[in-house]
Amino acid sequence: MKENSSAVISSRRAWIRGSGAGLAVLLAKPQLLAQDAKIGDVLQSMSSLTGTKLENRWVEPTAMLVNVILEDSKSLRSLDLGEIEPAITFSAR
Amino acid sequence: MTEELMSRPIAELAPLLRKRAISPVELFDATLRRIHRLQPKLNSFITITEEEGRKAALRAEDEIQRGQYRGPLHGIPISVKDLFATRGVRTTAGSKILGNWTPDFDATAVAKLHEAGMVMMGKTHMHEFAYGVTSDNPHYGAARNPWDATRVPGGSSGGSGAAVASSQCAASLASDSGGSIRIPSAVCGVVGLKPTYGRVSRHGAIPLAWSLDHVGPIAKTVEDAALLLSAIAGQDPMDPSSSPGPVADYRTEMMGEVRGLRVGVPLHFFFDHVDSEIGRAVNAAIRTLEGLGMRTVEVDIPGLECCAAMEAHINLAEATSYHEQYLKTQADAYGAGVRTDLEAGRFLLATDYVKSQRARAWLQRNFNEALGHADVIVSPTVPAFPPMVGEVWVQSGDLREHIVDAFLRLNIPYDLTGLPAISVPCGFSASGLPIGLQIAGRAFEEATILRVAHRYEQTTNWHTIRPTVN
Repeated sequence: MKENSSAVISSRRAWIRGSGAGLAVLLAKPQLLAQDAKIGDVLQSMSSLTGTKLENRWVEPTAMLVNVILEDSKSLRSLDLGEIEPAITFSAR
Repeated sequence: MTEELMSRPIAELAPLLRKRAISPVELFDATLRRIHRLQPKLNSFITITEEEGRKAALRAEDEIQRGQYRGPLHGIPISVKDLFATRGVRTTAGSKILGNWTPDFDATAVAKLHEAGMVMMGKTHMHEFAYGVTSDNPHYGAARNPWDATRVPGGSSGGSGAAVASSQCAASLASDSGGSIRIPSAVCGVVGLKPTYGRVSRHGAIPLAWSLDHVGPIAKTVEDAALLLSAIAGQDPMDPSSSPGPVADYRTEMMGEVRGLRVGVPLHFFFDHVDSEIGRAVNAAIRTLEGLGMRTVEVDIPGLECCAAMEAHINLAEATSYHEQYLKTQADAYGAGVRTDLEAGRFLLATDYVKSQRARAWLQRNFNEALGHADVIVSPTVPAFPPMVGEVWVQSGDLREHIVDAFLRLNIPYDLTGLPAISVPCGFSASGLPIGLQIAGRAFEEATILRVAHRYEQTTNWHTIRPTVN
């Protein structure tokens, strides 16, 4: 098992669930907070695309989660999968 | 009936029932008393099926007396995660939205257990719509860990894990989309088996994510898990993903030789950021496997660093799609955590979803290549100990992380690839919390992982240690 020398704080799924934990982490990472605000604006403006309007009180937690997932997705998005097809495929019955 | 008798596994209870040394009704009554005693403390059940259970116990008693023995599950007290449709019995999926739903059909796996003669004790507590890892439920309260009732039992099948560990049932039917069988099994000190995707029908299980959902047993021993798997596995025309492959006699297959089997130990990812006590226990377990004549080989599996993203895109998109109508009509009935997840699912890109489905095909190839050099792959089941109820941060070695990230991390590769994986107890922390060893294998080779797990289990005594719940 690898030894790790430094303590790492991860906020990867810092949903606000009625606790201040997520907010505390965001305050420690101002760039994430700014990113969340941008994403929040984007989410609110997307109602014509999604067909539903995101209520104001859900904008911040939803934006936080979407932001975390996007951060997590950098490796996935950079993958070159060549000709590999999706794992789930359609078949006519 | 003694507490000791109730703590025995199915494989020991079944012969006693068959030869009528104990009665299914006696066993039911004693188990029911235990459930009523522990329910205020552990909250393992959403619905206790006293009437239905008693009818099943009386029927089992009558049938066994007349020589109509159905098999090792006949007369055995078993619980069912409240995710599964049960005819005539409320099925909530841990939600307010389905709080008054009484199905008029049984899920296929439930029907098979009834056919096998189970005595259903109740519908176990779970995380709302299976969408979480703590079983801290805003509508039904928090389920609690029998080893330390201030802590979570894991999730989403937390009630099932806790009920089996505390002998409120002999086994439980559960589901796993991101670890929901294996996580509570590890943190409650019992055995949890996620079979190959398609091995057990999903029909009648409320979906979380269709392409990630698996159905499997939580039990006290590997042998009991094998017995349940044999009962519930098989193709089902109601589930288009179910496999037509033959169902083995897993209990017999489990008894095979392990000497010479190759145990894959991943070079990366699975042992990164793991609590030191958990790491030590799992490494000791690997040494035990070597002592049994198995050979360890290092395996390297590309793509594991993308698993969290793959899981997020697939899970959120599919779950939001399933919940589309409820979001339109009853959105405020969701708990805050699940509501956030469902809202987020609307905003993820279709191209990322498809990319994730392609990446999982790539991940399957990588695992299959590794499993060309190893017969099983081992790791910790979870990298951290369960937190107190209400807390969401855990310490995974040097990494402080959200419990969702921690508990999903080592489990989701096997939901993404559909490969079978089992968690077995492999020790305890200094403070008395259980530790789980995860053993995974090739698609539809449940027999191999059961064989390794069983032999390991029989060489140790972790599975015989039960919590004392006052």
